[in-house]
Amino acid sequence: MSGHFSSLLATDQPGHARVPVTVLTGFLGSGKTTLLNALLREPDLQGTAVIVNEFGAIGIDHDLIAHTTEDTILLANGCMCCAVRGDLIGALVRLGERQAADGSALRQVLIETSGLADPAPILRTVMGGPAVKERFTLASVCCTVDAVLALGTLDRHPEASRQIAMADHLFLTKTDLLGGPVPQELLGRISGLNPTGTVHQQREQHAAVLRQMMQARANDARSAPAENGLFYRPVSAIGDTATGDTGTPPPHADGITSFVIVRDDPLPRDGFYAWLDMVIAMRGEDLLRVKGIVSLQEQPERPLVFHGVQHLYQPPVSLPAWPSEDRRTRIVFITRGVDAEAMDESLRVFARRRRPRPAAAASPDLSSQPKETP
Amino acid sequence: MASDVSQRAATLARLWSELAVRHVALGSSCGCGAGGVSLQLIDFELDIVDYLEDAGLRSGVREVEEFFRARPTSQATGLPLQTLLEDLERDAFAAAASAWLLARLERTLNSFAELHGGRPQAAP
Repeated sequence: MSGHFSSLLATDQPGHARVPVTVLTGFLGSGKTTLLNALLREPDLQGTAVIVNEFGAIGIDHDLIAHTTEDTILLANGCMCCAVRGDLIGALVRLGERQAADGSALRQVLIETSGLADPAPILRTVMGGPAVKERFTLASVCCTVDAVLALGTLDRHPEASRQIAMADHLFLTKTDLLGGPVPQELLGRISGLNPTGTVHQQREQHAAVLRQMMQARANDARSAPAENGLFYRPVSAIGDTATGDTGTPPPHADGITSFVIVRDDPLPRDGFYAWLDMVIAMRGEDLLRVKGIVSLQEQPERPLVFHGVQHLYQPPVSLPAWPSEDRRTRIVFITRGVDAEAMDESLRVFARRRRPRPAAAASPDLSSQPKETP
Repeated sequence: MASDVSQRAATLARLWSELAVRHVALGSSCGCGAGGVSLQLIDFELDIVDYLEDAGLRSGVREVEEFFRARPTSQATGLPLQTLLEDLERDAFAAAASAWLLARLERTLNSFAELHGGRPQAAP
């Protein structure tokens, strides 16, 4: 079997640099454009293209951005996650072609979604569109969260929950209007939806953090989940080190569950790929985000880093070394109702795989050479 | 009247027979190029029995360890999980071995059933 994840190993092109794409999402009025304006005042943004999506027949967000350039593209008259998805592909392709034609240095792309957008189709476009994935790679997903109104918004709008659940970085906005600290209820709600997302409360630092995220590569050590302090939330950890009362991942009213699978011992490559292929095939639609750093028996000194959305995954990258002293496999799942214990148990089955499989069932061999980070 | 072991094994056998032959499409309708490939859980019978053996040999239960030493997975042919379930249904093994095997199989096969989309599971 050559499955979806394992097939990426054969299609990856080492040495082929791709332009990182950052997706900036957040519910209506949560401060995306304000953050974007602050970002555009940051230094060192040469070669940045901004794609703005607005839900409405007449776009005005374009006019609200103070520092537009020829590389600011407005996709109006529909939401990027559905109606104008083709426009998004076209805009990215044009950016890529122009770079190839005139040698202009396109260094990074920021996509600002509409406030009602479901991020998943947009991420799928970036990661899976044949015309796009050749030249672009997803760097990170950032989400603005209105510190004043978010709790009510989350109660009423499932889109807001999905935006938070899928983000790598969450920017709490309008904290100056709270008249006090950010409510623990809101922090708990965010953490419940997305235990691995980094929450940024310091408003004055938001633009700089966003810029750093844009300029990072998706699979480099800085963005590996191992470095995320929230990664080890014990309530969510499932696996070898999760002994005792680790609890069951809490279900949320909106059906989103998140958990981390941890393994102390390196996994056999073939078994791990077969497991992930199977999981993606069976539950891909319900895998909102998957991010992992994996210790493989065949290359214990070079962890494999990967991330994906639903059934689309970017080519995994072998890091030259572990980014920290923690050498455990850690895989973060943000899902729609996928059972953590079932995932854990099924991985135990495949982690036992040692014998060579028949040719038809084997995954492609992973190059022993580190794959260059796009 | 069928024993409890036989009944539980029969329930598991029905669950597995339903799961095992279903095709799961990989990458269908997707631009990744992996479309058109599908798998069946029956392909993983050897993985499951192998996993069971590994756990059994470390279980500390004498009857279980003897069971796997007498029936090493390395010599398995055909559909080893299906064969094991049929043998359990016939109540062919020592009571302690059957109890251990059934408990582990229920957990494992129910996990596959859950991943397969929350299908009806065998009661533990």
